[in-house]
Amino acid sequence: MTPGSRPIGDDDIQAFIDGRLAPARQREVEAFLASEPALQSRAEQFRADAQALRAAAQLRRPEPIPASLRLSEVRRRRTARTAAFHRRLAAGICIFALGAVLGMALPRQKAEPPTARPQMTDAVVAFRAFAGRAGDAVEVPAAQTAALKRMMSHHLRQDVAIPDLSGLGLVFRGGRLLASDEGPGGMFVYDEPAGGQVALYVKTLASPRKAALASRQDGDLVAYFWFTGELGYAVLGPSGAPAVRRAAEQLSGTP
Amino acid sequence: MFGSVSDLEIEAQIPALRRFARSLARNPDDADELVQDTLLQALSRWRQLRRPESVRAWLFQILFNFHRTRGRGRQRDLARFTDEDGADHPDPSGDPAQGLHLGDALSALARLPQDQRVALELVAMEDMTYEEVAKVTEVPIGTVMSRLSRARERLRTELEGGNVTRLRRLK
Repeated sequence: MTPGSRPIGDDDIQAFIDGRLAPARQREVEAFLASEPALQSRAEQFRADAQALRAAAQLRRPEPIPASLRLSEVRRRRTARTAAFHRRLAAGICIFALGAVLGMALPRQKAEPPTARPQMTDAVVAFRAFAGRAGDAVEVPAAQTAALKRMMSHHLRQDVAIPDLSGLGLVFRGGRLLASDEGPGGMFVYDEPAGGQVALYVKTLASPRKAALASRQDGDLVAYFWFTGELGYAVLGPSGAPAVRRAAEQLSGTP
Repeated sequence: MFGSVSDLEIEAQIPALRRFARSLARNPDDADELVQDTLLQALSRWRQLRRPESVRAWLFQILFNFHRTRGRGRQRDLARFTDEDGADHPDPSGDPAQGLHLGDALSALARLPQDQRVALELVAMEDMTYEEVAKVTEVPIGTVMSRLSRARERLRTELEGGNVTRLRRLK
């Protein structure tokens, strides 16, 4: 061993056994082993074992490669697998798209009924709830007209007048504040000659709109209604009472 | 990336891959399945291959990885080498003494712990460089060297123990 070279290590011995040392190092290791007979015979033995293993490996007859391991076959199967994946992906996208379309379409269908709901249904409901029953109909009696007018104007944030319909034979009894579909509302109740009630319903509009006088029938009730931009009005009463329509025409300014 | 590695280069490794797989798997069918998965993986990971000269180590690494992830806890089959090569393929040289020794070496090899066995097998039988073995088994090269050293010692002990012939008769 020349002085200054790396000491011989086990990795050198291993590489020596496998015959993988560079020639210079090979000589150094050989020299080292020559001075270590026990180690040398061990290394020779290892070398013989490795050769036996190599020889045993070479004894195995080369088997023909099965068709399933041909690269073309593996690639074909991979393509088929990728195609199957893409088909599943496409199916997934289709299902998602279908869901998305339905998801967009269905709420729209659901949104339609409210628009299709007859106008002034809240007025009809309020009239049935309060005006039909003489006792409950009025929160603020006619005697407190000024207070009612003040309350109503404040509630609707509009200057609201209580119309005098005595010319049609309707006697003012009083009124009440209400909550409508679209915001604050109220109702003035009148007695009609036949003994029933007629009411003027008024509400603020969530979306300002104008509409000429129209009517709707609900059982034995009739409602005439119109919209002035800021407010919506309805005159309600028994279908058989002529004062209902005349009051509506008079108040809406329809000839 | 792709142009430098041809199908031919890969297919040339298939016999070696099958040998390696058979030394790892329990039976030839499992071994070929390992090889098949390796090729499949190789085809989908072409781009990871930087240096074409390490095609073999790269393929062996994939295979060994598959074996390790799925074969945990599986018992090694001691007889697989002798089954394949000892009894069914008599030594063509016609020298029974030599044939016995080769068979003994293989069955002794099969009894080594996997890490040692793989290191010795790749170096001595597949002629891999130490660097390639380090890559395949994903350990530092120093670990490869010490496994190799222990493998040789253990193999010698097995061969000198004299129980090899007895084991072979038992199977």
